Amino acid sequence: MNTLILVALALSGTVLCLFTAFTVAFRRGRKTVGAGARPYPLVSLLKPVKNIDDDMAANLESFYRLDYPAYEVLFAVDDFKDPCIGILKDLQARHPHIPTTIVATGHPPFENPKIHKLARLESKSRGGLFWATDSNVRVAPDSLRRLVDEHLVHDAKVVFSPIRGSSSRSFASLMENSGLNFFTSGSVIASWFLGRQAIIVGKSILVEREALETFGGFGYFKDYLAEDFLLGEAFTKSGFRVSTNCTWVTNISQTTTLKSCFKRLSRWAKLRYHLRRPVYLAEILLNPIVIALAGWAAFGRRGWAVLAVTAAAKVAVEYANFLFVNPEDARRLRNHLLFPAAVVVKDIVFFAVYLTPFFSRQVEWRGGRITIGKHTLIRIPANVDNLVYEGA
Amino acid sequence: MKAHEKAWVVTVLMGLGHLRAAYPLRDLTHEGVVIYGSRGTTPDPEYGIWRRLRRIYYASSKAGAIPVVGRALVALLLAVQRIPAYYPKTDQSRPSHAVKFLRRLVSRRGLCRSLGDKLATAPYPAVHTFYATAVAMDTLETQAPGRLQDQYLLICDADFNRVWVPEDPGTSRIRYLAPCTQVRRRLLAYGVPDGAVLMTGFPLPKENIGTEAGLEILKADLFERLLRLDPARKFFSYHERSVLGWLGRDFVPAARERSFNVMFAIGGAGAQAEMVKKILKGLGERIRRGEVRLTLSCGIQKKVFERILGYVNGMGLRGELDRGIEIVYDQDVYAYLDRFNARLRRTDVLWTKPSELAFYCGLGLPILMADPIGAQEELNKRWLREIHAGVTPPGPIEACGEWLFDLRDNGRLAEAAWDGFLKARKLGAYKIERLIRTGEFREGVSPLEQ
Repeated sequence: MNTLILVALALSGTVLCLFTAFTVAFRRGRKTVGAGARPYPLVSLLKPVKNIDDDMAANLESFYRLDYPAYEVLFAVDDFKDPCIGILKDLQARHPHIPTTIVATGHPPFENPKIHKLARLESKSRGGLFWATDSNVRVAPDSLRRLVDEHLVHDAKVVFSPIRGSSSRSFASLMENSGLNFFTSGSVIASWFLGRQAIIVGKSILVEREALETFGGFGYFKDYLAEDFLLGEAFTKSGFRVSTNCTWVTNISQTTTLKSCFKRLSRWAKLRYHLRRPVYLAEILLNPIVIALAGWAAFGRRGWAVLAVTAAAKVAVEYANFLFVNPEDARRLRNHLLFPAAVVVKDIVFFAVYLTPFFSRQVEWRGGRITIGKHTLIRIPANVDNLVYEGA
Repeated sequence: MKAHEKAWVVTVLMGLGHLRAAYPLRDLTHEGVVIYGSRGTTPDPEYGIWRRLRRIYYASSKAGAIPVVGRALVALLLAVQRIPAYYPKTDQSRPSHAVKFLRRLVSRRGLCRSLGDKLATAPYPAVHTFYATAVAMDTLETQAPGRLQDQYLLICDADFNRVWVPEDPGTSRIRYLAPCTQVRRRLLAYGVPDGAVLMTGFPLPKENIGTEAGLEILKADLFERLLRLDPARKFFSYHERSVLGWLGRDFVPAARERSFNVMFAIGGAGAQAEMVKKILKGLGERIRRGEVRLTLSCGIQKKVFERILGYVNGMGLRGELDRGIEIVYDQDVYAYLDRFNARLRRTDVLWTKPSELAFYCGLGLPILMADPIGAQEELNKRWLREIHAGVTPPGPIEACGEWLFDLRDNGRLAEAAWDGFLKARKLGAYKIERLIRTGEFREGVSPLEQ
């Protein structure tokens, strides 16, 4: 038993070190060379928004400061009473040289609400490329140019990005950002460079319009909640090139509470569980603190020591990631002091989150409760006719 | 038979065949086509049974692709689905194990109970395209007489297993809608009284036919198709007078379109997706040269669509999408059927396993027969051969770029199209509608009346 636990810890440590190594190595991305004098196509920036996120005005402002010759911005809200409308109109007024459209799309009862918005924006857009990003995302001025370079040089029909969580002001946001930088981006980058597996996170996706239209547009994914992952999978299976040059986008999370962090993490956990169950089950191996806690009894009096060493090692690995990947947060002393506790608490919270898909299929997202099935298919209530193929 | 304004049309999503049969009857429906066994129509404990049945169906449809175990499974499936030899004629009315199993599912596990409750809400007859729902309603009606109206069961193949008929066909109230003569014969062999069998034909999409009296769309499409399928004028040299007579034309135009439109229809379970790779290999060059236009009908499964798209991209044919290659797919099953039917009008050859699509030869479509799956499809294939509407590929699939054009140039495909039009029944949808609305039925004699 002891050996088994030690093997699990060693395996876990190896994978987590790889995550850190990859995130650190690719923290500045990889320059795509060879775009040369090719003309940059018009890009439509699609932004489904709802309510007001942390520092939303600054996040959105960053999309108006892009070093890119031709782009338009399209926002979709449920309705024009949304509290963020003021911010959007202000941006529109302050940047008259960048075409900006605001569309009210309503809230669909039984569809992926984000896809519902993207599909409406798609029909209003003019660009040959779409860049769909979340409203809590902030980008560097050269982000779009770099993404488009990857598209042009490698004929990538989808270009995805790792996510940098930043601007932590609360303990929960420090936890959440650390999870994004280490676990999410680590798995995104490592899976890509080690196994060419595209794990696409919907925070930022650049997609070619023509290729997307082969599927009938964004609407193709409307019945599924994990539209980002499935988009990558559909493109890959269909023989379209999917790629990344690790152009990071920054997810701004400043004031997240433990409750909202738990909800978001458990939504993602449920999606992963319904997408690839065996992989999800193996994820527990990436939580060495919980493994060490579970093995406590097996090690007897040395259990404390194993736990302490494991926790220290985990904190050290994540701390390296924190220093290199999230320099903005690393400028605040408070974050350094709280970081060890944040890592340990996060891993315990992650374990609680890990268990949620075994007990519930329901997720809360964008103002609604949605029940999901296989491949995150949105379950329709029994009194509504459902013609979507449910799989065998 | 009583006349009714409307009817319940009940089907299941088990592949696409049963639904394809129900869809042309949509004008008749009381509340749209009832797709029983889907989440929207079936309460939870029973939904589980249907889900399991569907899982078995899809797995068995694709099992043939697995080398050893798969073939063993297919052999087992064939044994279960076995349709006894028709000749020498014997009494085949003794219920099989499957019939008894179905009865137990209905009476002990409550299969289709909620369907009975639903159908009892409006006094309309029901047209079923799947045996289990019809047999279940018949059983429920026996237990509580007077709740339900007449039950019609449309047979969806040219021959079929005993499970389509209840344990005691003599006392059953089910009336059978037969697509072809062999089905009538088989029903009688299974013990169904002669008066309970109506030779309606398989319901084909009305949008591909026109009016019942004129068949305007069908005739026009067929005439154009025959011209495209006969570039060497071999077919018309034999059949000109017959074609002009039946289709009401005065002459055969000298000029004809040079296009050649082939549709490959993958079964609802996605079992023939692998064939697409070989077809693309065989036709790729000709597609690039614009000599043939290929339609790939993938049904409603995302994974089949993505696989097909992957083959197209993999063969370097992406540039031909929506030009030389069209993929017919929609996740909404009705939207898919609409697109499929619309595309059929411009199709010259329908390449498919001999499923319910075999009856589409009535639209004047030559059927290029892929390998059948299951006993009923073997017999559909036999039926297509008997009426000369089906053509067996004369060579390997990869060489289809050679033999497809040979079949066309020697007039064989045009002949199959013509034979299908003359010999297969095409007015099933109209006849079933009239039967429900007036209570009257007339089989018709001439090819334009059947």
